[in-house]
Parts: sequence; structure tokens; C-alpha cells
Amino acid sequence: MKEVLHIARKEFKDTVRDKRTLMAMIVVPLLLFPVIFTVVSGLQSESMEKAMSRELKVAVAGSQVPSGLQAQLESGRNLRLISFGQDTSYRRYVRSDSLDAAITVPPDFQSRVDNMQTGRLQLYYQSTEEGVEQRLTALLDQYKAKLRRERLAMLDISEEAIQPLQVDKMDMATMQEKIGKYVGGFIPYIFIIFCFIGAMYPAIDLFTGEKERGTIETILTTPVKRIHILTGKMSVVVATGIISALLAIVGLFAGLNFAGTLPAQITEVTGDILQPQFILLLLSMLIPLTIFFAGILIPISIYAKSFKEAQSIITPINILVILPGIVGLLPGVELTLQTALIPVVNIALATKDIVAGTIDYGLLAAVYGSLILFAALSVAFSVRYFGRETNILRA
Amino acid sequence: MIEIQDLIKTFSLNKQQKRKLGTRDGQIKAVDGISLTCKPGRIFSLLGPNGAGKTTTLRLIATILQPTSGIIKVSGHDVSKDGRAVRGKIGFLTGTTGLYDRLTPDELVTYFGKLNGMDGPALERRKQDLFHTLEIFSFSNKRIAELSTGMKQKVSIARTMIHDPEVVVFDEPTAGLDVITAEHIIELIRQCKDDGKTVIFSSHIMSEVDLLCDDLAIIHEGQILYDGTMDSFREQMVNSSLTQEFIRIVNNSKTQAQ
Repeated sequence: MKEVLHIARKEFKDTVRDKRTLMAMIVVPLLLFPVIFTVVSGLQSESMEKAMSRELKVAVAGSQVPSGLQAQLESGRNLRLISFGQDTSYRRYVRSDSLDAAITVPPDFQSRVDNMQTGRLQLYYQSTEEGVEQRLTALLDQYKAKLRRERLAMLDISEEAIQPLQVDKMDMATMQEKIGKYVGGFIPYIFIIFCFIGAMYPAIDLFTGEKERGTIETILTTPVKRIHILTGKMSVVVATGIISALLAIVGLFAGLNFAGTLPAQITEVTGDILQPQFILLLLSMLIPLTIFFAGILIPISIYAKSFKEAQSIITPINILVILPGIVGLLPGVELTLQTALIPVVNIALATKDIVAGTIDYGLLAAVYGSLILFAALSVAFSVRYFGRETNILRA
Repeated sequence: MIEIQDLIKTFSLNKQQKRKLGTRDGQIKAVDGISLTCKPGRIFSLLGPNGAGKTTTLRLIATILQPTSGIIKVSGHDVSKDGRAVRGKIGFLTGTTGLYDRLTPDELVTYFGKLNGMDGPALERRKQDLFHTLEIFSFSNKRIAELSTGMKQKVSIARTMIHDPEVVVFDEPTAGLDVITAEHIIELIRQCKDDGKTVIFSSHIMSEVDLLCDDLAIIHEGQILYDGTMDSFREQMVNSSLTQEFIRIVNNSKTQAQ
């Protein structure tokens, strides 16, 4: 046991001194989300603001523009109205961006409105130009409301008379459940990937690296048993995988809380999700998952002659890990007895339920059972593989 | 003391290796029935061309590989039954042995001391002695990656000797080293002999063997062609030069085989 600790301590020291591993294990998972959130929300709010406040050039076309409509449009902020009369060239100008929009008033508009018919207006715009349609529709809706009030007054009908039904919707799903449904699928996806990547470099470094640097013989000629060498090294691979997965989640929540402008509700709920209980549950699933990953990565790293060879074998496996992780993002796929037994898929679905607070503890037990079984199998395989002299010395 | 009896080691070959060697056999005998004895206080040299089975033999002694058949005893312990005890008695050094670049010499030697079951003041004292003799102190806290080849070789020696092994195994210890660095190794081998240790080293350089060894075995294709003292080898030489004599013995065995 003491020997396992000596090995684990040395390998951990060796690992954190490696800049490449340090980047993959700590820097990338911790900073990725805050950076993405800051950049995306910064860009988004900036462009949104710009779209809402910039001056719009709007053509008003038609031989007779009712004064009420004209006055309503003039009340709009940051609008420059250009009277086109009967000129129909506005379509071309809207297409070529010289105009932001055009409103055309047919000749019979006023008479239809006066005769209790529906008056029609045309709004020409490009949906690719953000905010234009929303701003003008809001303005025209105000005009519509004004016309309706006038009609109702004229007919002596109350507003309530034409609104026989109103439904007040009460969403009983908690904010945690709603967020769980969307973010919940995203969280396991993130930690599964970072768990794998975080474990990948140390696995290659601690096994293939020993061969490449010619140190494998020095460690094999110490009295320490091979299984103890393997255990010590494996524990470091597992630890780095768990650390980077947890850091990715810390980064995700830090990003949600501090970077960018998110609705206050979301930040509140993320605080609710990040309870010690959640972290403990997550950690308890992460440990067997990472051991399973280590059990896959280590035999490959033992077999490979060089860093390059190890990486070229592991890269396609990366995709095999990411694909089941994506299942957590798909709507409609739920944790059942079947899905609870498939490694990676089960942890993705279980986390989603845990975040939403709707986890079935019987199924969670099945998830643990499956994770532990697969972890044990992969470790047993690693042990057998590390014992084979042809693999250790393959050069 | 190393005692080897009727040692055989076979390796299975994959398709690629079979093609490379131009053989159809699924197996190859790297070591084919060798018997040797290396005595304490004497330097034993295993001489042979590349691919003769030197490295395999030494790895079998060091328990990195397991014998297919035959017996190896190191200080009375059987390598197949008590590998742990054997590894506690031996130091192992090769010319291409690497070190952990991101550790310092101090950390590295302490690590190997601990893996050999040493601890506390005893380990500290032994390390200080070695660092003093090998003049490692001036760079003992630098990362190994920053050291010169000569410095690294000194650290390798300290690593090999930290647990004061009874038996020291050198596999082509000077391969790839310049003469100055190689000199450290030669000195170490002599020192081991003076300390009464059992030393076995492999080489394909006759002059190095001539300089150091007391007992000599010439190995070719996994079999022993000559086993005796260096003095008796010199006496029964046909050629005047040691290298010529070595080539003659190896070629002779080839013609006999045909």
C-alpha cells in the first residue's frame, strides 16, 4: 500500500509539472465556459442593443396616408420616415439595404377602416436585419389598438364583451426542472468529455511515456509488484480525469453566474442545483466512470510505442465516448432499466434527472451497478495487459 | 552471486516479425540453453554481436522477463518464484536508460530509494554519500531535463546504486556515450568489484571487455561459445588481437552450424 502511494505521489507530481497535461486538465476545462459565455453574450447583447436603437429608414408609400397613421409612425423613436407617394421603387431599396423597411398604404385603406372593414397595410422588410420587423410591428400594433378602441366606443361595446375567455396559465414545473431539461443534458456531456480528455494525456504520459523515455526498465527492476505500479499510476490517471471533469463543471457554473448577462432566474437556479448533495452524487458516478475510461486508455497506452501511436489509436475512441454523451442532449430518451445499463449513456441520462430533481433511486442503483461492473472489467483487462511482457517491452 | 542453469527463453512472433526474420516458425529462441555463474567480487562480461541474446539474458536476470525454462538464482533467490527479493538485490543500468525529466535528481533518487523499501535517515545518508562521490550536489535540485548527458548519467548511477545492491547488471552501459561520460561507468564497475559486488555486463566492444572483466562468456544466437576466465581466454588465443579472436570464434560457430 505504501508503495502504491509512493508511485501515485511521484506520478502526480510528474503529471502536474507537464504543461501539456496541465492545459488539458486544468486550464481548458476551467476557462472554456466563462470565455465562451463572455464572448457570446457580449456579442449578442451588443448587437441586440444596436438593432434596437439604431435609426431605421422607413419608406411610407401610398397616395393617401391617414393622418392618424402618420402621427403614430412619427411618434416612433429613431425612425426616419421618407414619403414615397406613388413611387414603387421602395422594394428595390429595401432589397439593397438603402431602406430598412417600407410601409405601403393602399388607396382604399381609410375608407375600409371607416366602413368597419379590415384595413390592410403592407410591411416590406428583410428578416435577416435584426429588430426591424419587431420595432415596426410594435408601432403598428399600437395604431391597431387605438382604432379598435375607437370602434368599440362608437358601437358602445365594452372591451370585455369581445373577450369572452381568458386563460391564466400556471406552470407547475419548477425552474430547476425546466433548466434540468435543457442544461441538464448539457452538464453530463461536458463532464464526460473532459473526464476522458483529462485522463488521456496522463495515461499516455505515464505508460507510453515510460517506454518512449526508456524509464520502463528502471521501474520494473524495483522490488515493487507490477500490480502496485499499475494501481499507483492508474489512480493518478483517474484523479486527473475527475479533477478536469469537476473543473469543467465549476467553469460552467462560474460562466453562468459571472460572465455575460443572463436572466436572474437562471443564476438563482444554478445556485440551487449546485448543492453539496448534487456534487456528491455526481462525484460518486464520476469515479467509476473515470476508472472505466482509465481501463480503456491504459491498455492502449501500454501497447503503443510512442505518443503519436497512442494518440492515433485514442482519437477515434474519443468519438465513441462523445456519441453516447450526446444521447443526454436528445429529447425523449429517458433513463430506463435498459438505458441504465449502457455505460456513458446511463450517466448522461441519470445526471439529467438528478439536475431536474426527478431521479428514480432504483434506476440510479442500476446505473452504479453497471458503471462499477464495466470499471472492474476494464481494470482487470489493464492488469492482464500490464503483466504481459511483450506489451511492456514492445518497442 | 548469479547462477544460471539451462536457461531457455522463447518469444512468439507475429506476422510482421516472421516476415522480417524470413522464418515460418511461430517462435524464436532468444536464449537457447545457457548456463553461467557470476561470482561476487568479480566482473563477468557477456560478449556477443547484436541479436545474440545478451539483453534478453540480462532482462531475465532482472525479472523483467520470465524464463520459458531453466533456473536463474540471484543471491540464492529464484527469479521465477521470488522476483521481489531478486529485484531488491539488484541494480540495473543500460546505456539507453532514461530518467524522469520533470523530476530533480534529488526527487528521483529519493523515489527509487523508497521503492526499494528505504526510508528516513538511512535513505538520506545513502543519498548524501552518493551525491558526494558522484559530485551531483551542484545540480541536485535542477530539473533533469535541463541537465547535460554526463550529469544525467551520474544521476542514473545514483539511481542504480541507491539501495546498495549486491548484484549489478549493466546492459551495454556505455552505448551511445562519449568517452568522458563512459569513464564514469567504467569507474563505477571497478568500484562495484572492489566493494565485493557481483557484476555482469554485456558489450560488443572487445576493448571494453578486455579493460574490465575477470570472467568472460561469448554468446551467439542464444548459445554460449566460450565460458571461462579472461586470463585463460588470452592464453588460448589463436589471433594476436582480441577483436580478431572474437570474430574468429563467432564465424567459426557459423561454419559449424552450416
